[in-house]
Amino acid sequence: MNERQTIMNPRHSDDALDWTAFCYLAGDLNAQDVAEFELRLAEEQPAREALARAVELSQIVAAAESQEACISTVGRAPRSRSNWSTRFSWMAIGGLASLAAGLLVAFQLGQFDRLIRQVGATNQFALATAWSQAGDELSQLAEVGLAPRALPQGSESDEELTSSWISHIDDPMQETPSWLTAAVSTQFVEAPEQTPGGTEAL
Amino acid sequence: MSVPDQVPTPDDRPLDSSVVAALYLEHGEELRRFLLGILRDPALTADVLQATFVKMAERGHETKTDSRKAWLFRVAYHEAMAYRRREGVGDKILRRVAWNAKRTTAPADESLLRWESVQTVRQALETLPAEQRQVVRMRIYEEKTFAVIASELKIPLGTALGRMRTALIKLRAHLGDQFAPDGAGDANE
Repeated sequence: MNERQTIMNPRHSDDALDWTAFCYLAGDLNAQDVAEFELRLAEEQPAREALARAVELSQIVAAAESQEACISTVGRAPRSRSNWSTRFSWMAIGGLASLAAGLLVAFQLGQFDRLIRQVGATNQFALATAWSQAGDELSQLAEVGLAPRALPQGSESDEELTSSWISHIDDPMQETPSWLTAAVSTQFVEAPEQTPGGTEAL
Repeated sequence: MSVPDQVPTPDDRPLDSSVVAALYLEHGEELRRFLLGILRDPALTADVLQATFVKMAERGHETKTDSRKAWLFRVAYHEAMAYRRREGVGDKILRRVAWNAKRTTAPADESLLRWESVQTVRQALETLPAEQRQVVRMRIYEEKTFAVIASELKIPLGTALGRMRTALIKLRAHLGDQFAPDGAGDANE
């Protein structure tokens, strides 16, 4: 490249200077070319600025290529990590949902159980009351001679016990004892909605 | 009567520290890259850069305002070459690669500015033809010589050099003002 070409085409000289600066930077110049270029660095500000540009461009390109290499190398890893992360997330959600459902069911069962206990307590109270009343009524029956025949302790058979009560019940003259009625009526307090008619089933 | 070209300050005193600081802000980064191109070592570069501005503080009053940039670069060059002669590490230095990111310790603020440039270059690299992109990558990132590149790609050495040269021209054109001679790295001003 002669001087005329350099003057007529400054851009061409800039490109040539940039290329020489890059080759100097990359260590691709022979010893003579290195010495010539270093003389230019000593005397010419454009040559110095060309070298500074070459350093900056090369560093930036190296950084850009390094980023690309990192992205291509670990490109799959984030995906697998996200797969496991997604799986764990869904597992956690499922676990929490199950726990919540379990708590809800337990709560409801607790409520139901509390209701049953309340009913049970009511039943127990009712039964206790009924037994107490039965005792009174049996005493009253005994006074009038209508109490069931007492059987010797320990020798009762089921048939004997049942027959005594049957004969007693079949007697049209007997009224249904109130304790029996009370025991039957409490059955429908437990689950008033279990029968279509609710308490009407009584 | 015209004023002489080189007129020291009336009191012949060294430059004010604020002037030196302003010169450092304006030219320090470009000067650092220039020195890195000569010395290929960030630590040495920092030392020589510091020595250069110490000289500016001591003798900058002898320079003209509009030629202080060239004065700084000239002083920096001579300081760098003096170190190379003193340590006898000329050829060894030239064999190093100046753009190795691991050896480059850029200031934090420069790193922020540099990030944008890196993203711009990444986009520019994608616009290059595949064969040019490949040569750029092999030379700059993989640090292979052009002879090795030509051998691996089974192309003439001149072809490898030509692809690299063309790619660099395109990259500079794409980056535009970021690499202007008088404002390298100051695209935001």
